[in-house]
Amino acid sequence: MKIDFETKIITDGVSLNVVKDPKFNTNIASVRFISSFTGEDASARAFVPNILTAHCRKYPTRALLNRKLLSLYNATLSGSTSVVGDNYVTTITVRCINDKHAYDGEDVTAEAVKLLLECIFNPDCENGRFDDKEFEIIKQDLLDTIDSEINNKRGYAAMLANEIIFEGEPSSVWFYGTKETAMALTNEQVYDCYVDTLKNAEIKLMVGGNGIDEAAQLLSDAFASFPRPKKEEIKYYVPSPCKKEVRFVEKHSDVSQTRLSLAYKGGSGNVYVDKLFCAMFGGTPTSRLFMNVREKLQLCYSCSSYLKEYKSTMLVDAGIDKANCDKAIDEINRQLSYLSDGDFTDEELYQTKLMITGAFRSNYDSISSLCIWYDVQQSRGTCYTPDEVIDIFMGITREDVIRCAKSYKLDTVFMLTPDSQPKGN
Amino acid sequence: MTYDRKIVVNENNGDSYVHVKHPSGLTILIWKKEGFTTTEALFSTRYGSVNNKFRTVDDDDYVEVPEGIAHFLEHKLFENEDCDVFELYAKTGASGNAYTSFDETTYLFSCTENYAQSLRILLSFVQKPYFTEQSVAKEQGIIGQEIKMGLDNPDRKSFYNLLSCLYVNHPIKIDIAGTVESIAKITPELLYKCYNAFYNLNNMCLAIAGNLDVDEVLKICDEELIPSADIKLEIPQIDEPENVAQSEHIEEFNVGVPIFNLGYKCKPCTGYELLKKEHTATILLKLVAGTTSKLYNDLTNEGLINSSFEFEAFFAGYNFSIIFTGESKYPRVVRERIDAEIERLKVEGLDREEFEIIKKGMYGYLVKSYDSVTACAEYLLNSHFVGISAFDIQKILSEITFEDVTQGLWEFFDKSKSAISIIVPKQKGENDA
Repeated sequence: MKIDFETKIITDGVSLNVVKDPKFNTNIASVRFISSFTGEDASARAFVPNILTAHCRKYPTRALLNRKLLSLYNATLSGSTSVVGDNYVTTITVRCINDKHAYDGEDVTAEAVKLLLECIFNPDCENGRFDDKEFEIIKQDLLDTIDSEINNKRGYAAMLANEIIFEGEPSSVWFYGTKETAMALTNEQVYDCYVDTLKNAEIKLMVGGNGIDEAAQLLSDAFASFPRPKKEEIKYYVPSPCKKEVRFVEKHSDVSQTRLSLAYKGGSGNVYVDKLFCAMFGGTPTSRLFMNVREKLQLCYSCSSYLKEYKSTMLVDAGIDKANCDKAIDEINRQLSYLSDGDFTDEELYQTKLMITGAFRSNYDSISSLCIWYDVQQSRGTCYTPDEVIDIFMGITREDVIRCAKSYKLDTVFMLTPDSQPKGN
Repeated sequence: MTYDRKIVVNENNGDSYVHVKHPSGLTILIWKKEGFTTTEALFSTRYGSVNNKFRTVDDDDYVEVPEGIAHFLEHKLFENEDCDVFELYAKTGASGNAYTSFDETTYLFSCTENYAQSLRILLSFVQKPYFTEQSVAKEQGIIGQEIKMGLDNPDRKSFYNLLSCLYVNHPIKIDIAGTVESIAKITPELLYKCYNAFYNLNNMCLAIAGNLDVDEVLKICDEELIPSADIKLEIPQIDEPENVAQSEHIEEFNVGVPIFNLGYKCKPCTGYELLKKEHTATILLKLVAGTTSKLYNDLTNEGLINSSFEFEAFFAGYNFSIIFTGESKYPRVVRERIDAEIERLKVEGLDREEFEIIKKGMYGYLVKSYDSVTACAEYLLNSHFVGISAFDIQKILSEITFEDVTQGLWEFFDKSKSAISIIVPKQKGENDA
């Protein structure tokens, strides 16, 4: 399928991606800030998009800003943050209907992009501080989010496991830091972080949808006079070194079911081979983990694997009775060794390719997915379309998969268990 | 084969879908989406967790079955006599799944190629039950783990506690998955009994949207569907009073911040009226407690709610209630403030200009949702089950007046029929090993 995609450099450190497709009713515009991350200022960085999307100088209360968004046919303004490799990524996005669906042909998209720019360039701040009242509300919200992490046991276990898996690396810090760093945050620190992000982060602008030329121009013009300082190209891939000895850690909480997390480190050096291997191992309903740990041994409801691509790490997650943990760990490792030994059929390989390529192709059906697709492609130093990646996938051989499986070594076993008696070291 | 076939058109944008009453008894809804690569198919029966009592032409009296059996049956249909259904989908590249709600069970797949083969798999396995003592015992272990996973979810706990407060007799208050004890009573015979009662094509619907050929879909249906005889399925009326069972329920759980679910029990309704009430209530909720409202902003500024605060017009079958959820250190105060705001608005009135902006916003939401093939298939299915067309939603939205919404202040918010479920943190930390 042909995609109308264009990328260009606006100024030093600022680039623009434009994806056009007339079939969509939705338009999207994003500004992505990419900063190198040491792990120290996660709470301040997590704070910035929350305060920028809450209000701005022109719409100084939540009610006024939200009213403006509603009047643009329920346009949505959202901020998000993530740790990618050893980088901190902050994204602010606006989504709206395209103008042809407006009752009276209003310029909804251009208006929505202007609002996005207002929020980024003209926040409600004075003398190096954000509005104090809003700062306190968002700080409390961040603290509540951290306190509530425990409500989702799967996510909570993943967060605790993350500290151990990436110990000593910036990635060990959760994207919003800790309760202590969030508690200690001051208004000035958040403001300084905002200014630093605006001045120094690499910026990727993205516009997608139908009838978006004016939106692309508005974004380009706004950032054209803000060149970034010259610096080294962003390094996305920062493989996590495998520990010399496997770390076994058990923590306890008031849970009914043990959450088991395993981390394997390695990687083939080819992300598509890694993805295929990971899917065969535990990424589909016919994968080794699903068919054996769940269906054959009936040890759990879910057992799956997924990749942390930029850290060359594969994670396995399961919810399980504590008494069955050793059995499950043995079975997970056994399945990995089967794949390393080439104990799989060509049909199994082909069917996994079919499943994954289907998911890749579905990117054509969402404008948000297409925009993210090209962003991820660029982080890999490529510019493939989904169809081109499908061709690459179909060419992966069983030898590639075997080499990949052999490369992954167990690094960490983490358990969040219901009782108070520790099990491992 | 000859069909009762009609084309349903969206007057606003020209979109259309085909509605067929198939001779087998099945209603088939097909929406071709030009330019899209994905196909999404939903094969669904009007059978959910609340249908624990029923009678067919074969029964002298009503049969009562264990709680959680509809969900259990959904799991078990994925296992054929000779293989697992996921293995069949693996050959076509489709992603298959299923879910059970209070009042329906739906089997689905999504794919970007080979949709015709995947459709054959879907239609075939749902019509071929295969249950044995051994396979039932196996599933009891897996679903037991799923139930335990749910027990660790405080949001789920709080939600069901609220339903237990709001509903006196209705089985809606029972967890869809049942309990470890209730599913232990399930046998192959009971599964066949439920299957034969509810998986009758006259009680089912196929909704398919995206990249497809209408004639090819119908041809596959002709070849795969096994006509169903009318078994005269009867589901007893549940005697549910208008009052709530209890006004408050508090429970301790391992949570960081207290969670609340506040509900207002409303009168049950069905069909077009249901959809109109759902949208009227949604507009009213946005006016009362949406991000532009006085109440939302006051509660946020006073630290009484945080960004987790949400609300919905909750429908399950014909049951209808208004539900607010969120985290708050002072849930009872939030309840008082919501009640007080309703009383204030009854006296001072709603903001007409705000009403128009919210309607405009809801139209925008609907337009954006048509970009999703999954959403389109769901619109087809859900609208069929309430007896309207998928495009009626836009019509209903345009018909709702300021007066309808104002009336909702009295109709939807009866303080004497409200209840709150609160989950408070246990005073116990965790230890590092």
